[in-house]
Amino acid sequence: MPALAFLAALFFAALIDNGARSLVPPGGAPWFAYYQQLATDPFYLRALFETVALAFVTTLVCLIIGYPVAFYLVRHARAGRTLIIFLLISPLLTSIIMRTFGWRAIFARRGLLNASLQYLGLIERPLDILNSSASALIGMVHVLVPFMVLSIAAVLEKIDPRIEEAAEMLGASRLQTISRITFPLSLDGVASGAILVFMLAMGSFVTLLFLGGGSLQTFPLLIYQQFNTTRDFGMAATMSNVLMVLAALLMFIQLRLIRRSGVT
Amino acid sequence: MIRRRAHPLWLAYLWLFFGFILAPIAIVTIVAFQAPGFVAFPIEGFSFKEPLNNVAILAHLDH
Repeated sequence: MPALAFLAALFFAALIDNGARSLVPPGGAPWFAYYQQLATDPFYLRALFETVALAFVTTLVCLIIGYPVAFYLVRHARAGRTLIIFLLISPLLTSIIMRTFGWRAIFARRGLLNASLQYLGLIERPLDILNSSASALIGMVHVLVPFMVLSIAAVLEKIDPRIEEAAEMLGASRLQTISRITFPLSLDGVASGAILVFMLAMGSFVTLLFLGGGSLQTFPLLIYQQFNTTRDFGMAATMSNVLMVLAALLMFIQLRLIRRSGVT
Repeated sequence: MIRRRAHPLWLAYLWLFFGFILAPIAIVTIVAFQAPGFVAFPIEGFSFKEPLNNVAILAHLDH
């Protein structure tokens, strides 16, 4: 009972306040005016598109680079398995600000990457990598790819390797076995990881602030700006509610997938 | 089940992947010993109240 009261006070009260602010604008404007503005104003529609597009591309890149690692971890790693898992989760044990500053030191005009490329004679002048959508994407993938790998590995672990061996005995090549047997059987893990990464990417703030440098206008950045600069609490609450509903929807789908695949 | 030896390409890919994962952490550690001001947080003049107007401050740091 005290736990429920604690939750109600700190969690639901804030949500109800957020909902009320977004529904009833001040100054006698009609209900849902904020939502109407969000759905019709090109600025906010573009921000919503950039938020979803960035989350989608991040998820896709995480899947492409994370699947082979998950596959290696489950099918090939022997003694090094614990080390791989440790290395995989080690970035999660450090501060996100520290990791983001690491990328800034790499991508800066006189950073490691530009210095290396110039030393190798591949470029004459330093490239402007920092404060672009590319640097933001790399930072996001770096933060989120461990979640994808671990989600896929959890499902790959449950696939009986004898099925793959049977396919190879019947004449399938290694690549055919992976593409036609292993990958389709691991789709639950792929979907689960994709939803998790997509949700986290949509709400990402620090990475975009430090690496995007204003090149991207996503909802979390705008929410922060609305709360702290323009003081438009109603619009900030509306945007956060839209993000929350999207996240809740995705979490519902993810729970259904997890229940179906039996991964806990 | 017999675990097969991984193709060398797998291992090369794994090295690349973990290089990517660990690079920023290693860089911050190295930089922290050389230029303490760079990783000081919050950056001088940096304000969370103006998140989208910090580009100039951050760009100045990079030059």
